[in-house]
Amino acid sequence: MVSLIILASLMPSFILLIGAILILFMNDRINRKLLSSFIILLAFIMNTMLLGFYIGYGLIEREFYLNLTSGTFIISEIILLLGLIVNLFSKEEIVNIVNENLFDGIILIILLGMIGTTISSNLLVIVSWFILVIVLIGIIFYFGDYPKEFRLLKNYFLGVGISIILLFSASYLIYLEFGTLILTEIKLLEMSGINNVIISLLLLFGIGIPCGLFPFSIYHLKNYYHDSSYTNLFLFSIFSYVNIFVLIRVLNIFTFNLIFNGLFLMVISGIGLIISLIYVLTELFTSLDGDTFSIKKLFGFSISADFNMFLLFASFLVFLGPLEMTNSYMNILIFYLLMVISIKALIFYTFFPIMRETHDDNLKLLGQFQEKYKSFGNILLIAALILSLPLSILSFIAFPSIFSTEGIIEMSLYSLLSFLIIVLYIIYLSITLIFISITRVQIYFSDKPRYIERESVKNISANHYLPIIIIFIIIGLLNIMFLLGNNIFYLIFKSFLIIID
Amino acid sequence: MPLVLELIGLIFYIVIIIIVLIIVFYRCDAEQRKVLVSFVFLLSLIVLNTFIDIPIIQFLLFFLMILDLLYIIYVQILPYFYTQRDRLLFVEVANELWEELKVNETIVQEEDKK
Repeated sequence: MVSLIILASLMPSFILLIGAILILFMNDRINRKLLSSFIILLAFIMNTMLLGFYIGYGLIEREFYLNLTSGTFIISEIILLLGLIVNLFSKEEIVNIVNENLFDGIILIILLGMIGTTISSNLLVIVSWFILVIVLIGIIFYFGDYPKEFRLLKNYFLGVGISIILLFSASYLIYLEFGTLILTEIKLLEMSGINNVIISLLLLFGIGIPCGLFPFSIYHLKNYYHDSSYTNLFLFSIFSYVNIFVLIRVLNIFTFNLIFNGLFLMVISGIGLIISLIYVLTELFTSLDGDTFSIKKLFGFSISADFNMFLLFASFLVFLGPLEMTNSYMNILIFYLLMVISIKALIFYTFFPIMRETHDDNLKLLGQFQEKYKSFGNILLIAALILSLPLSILSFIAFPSIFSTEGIIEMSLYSLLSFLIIVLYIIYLSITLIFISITRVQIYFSDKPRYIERESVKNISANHYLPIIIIFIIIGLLNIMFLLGNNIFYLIFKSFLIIID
Repeated sequence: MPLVLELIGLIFYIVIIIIVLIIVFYRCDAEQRKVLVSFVFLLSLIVLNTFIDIPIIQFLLFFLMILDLLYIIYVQILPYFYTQRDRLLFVEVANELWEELKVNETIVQEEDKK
């Protein structure tokens, strides 16, 4: 039985692979989009069953060639569920372009690649999937209504190139040091401090740079956010969030056992967070010509801010001494990350009617949405309230209980840093609230459209509310699990994140 | 025991790939064939890398993968962006329009003077 489950664990990936290849041969657009949704749904159902088995059979854990743990399947669930929303966006947005079937196939391969980064336990394979995904995300940027110049993503590909070189060097150093590339087989005790620092930094920058870590920060992503379609942007955001898990998993072996690494990560991600927040603020109050306020850029910058914020929180793992504290901190961190992913998906989904109406990227065009799509506006507000009130209250209760342990209070440097990080966090929340309130006002409460009068308004059908209901159910479930389960997220993700007791 | 199961998975993958390659060679034109075969090759390299536990071979496969990826970018992205020539053409047309506009302006100014 167990062996069958292990064999079946590869099924969602196979379904995606076969689907991607089938879609390449289909020329009928409607059937192709339907098939694409069906494939993702099938993979999702399969994955849910597997997750049930893995949790039901007392968390079968195995890590040899493949990392088959319950955490892996939860991340795959997120990828596939959000993949369905991506498919919904692409169905409405990517219409009549050259090589459209290739675009659809590549989306499935990107989802497969993201699952691949979580399911592999060999570092070089993780790196291979990672590189495949970042390059494909760059390639699909050029698919669209009109041809785009290559120079738009010159910096992005420069970042990708640097990342490939760094990751390769890291893998080679690890091979020289240990003679193996499988993450769990790496023996930490044999490694010298200098090597640990070098490998940590190479891995950190290699995986972090494409998602907006400090030295490149948002510099190479500005054009991507500005000129990509909504579909691409959402795909990139899923990739960023999945990347946080992958990065914490990889860094957990090297980084969090040396205080220098933790401090370095803290400084780098803190600067990255501040820069992305400055970008969000300036973007909120500046426009191209007095009338154009970009939604995509705002959302993209907020994703980079999220990426940096979670790395900042993860860097605290260095300081947390006693085991129980590390466990409950990990529990809170994972819960918070899962909640932010769901809420960001909800916020992004409220842009759906805008995208459907006009593919333009402007908040001000959408004056008459108040009458037509009031419910979407209200959902945006509720998402903002969840993000800024209950979630922050929960984390305000949870974080200080960890930070105020006696052993830690004695370290003055630690106290100062934690104070700084809590201040940064409050600034982050207030900027999020400003971002959402202004977006809401601009979209749903501004006057008539300024310069485009649209005649035909596409109606939103009942089906389009389904993702919202599902995301709300997920948010509810996550909260119940957090409140009732005793360190449940930690237990689920324990072997995924290679935590050694 | 688990190793055997993983080998079954690998064999399953190889069978799928062979079927796909047969379909590709019978149904696609040369342009599609190029892209599809390179994609299939790339995915196969990654999957093989998962199951081979000899680091040196893994690094070799990794290099092949990077080369294949560069090839995909070369074949797949190039048709999608403006070339330098297109941009120069665009600038040329814009300059011509600008000259025309200037001429028109001077004509209007002369008429105003009169």
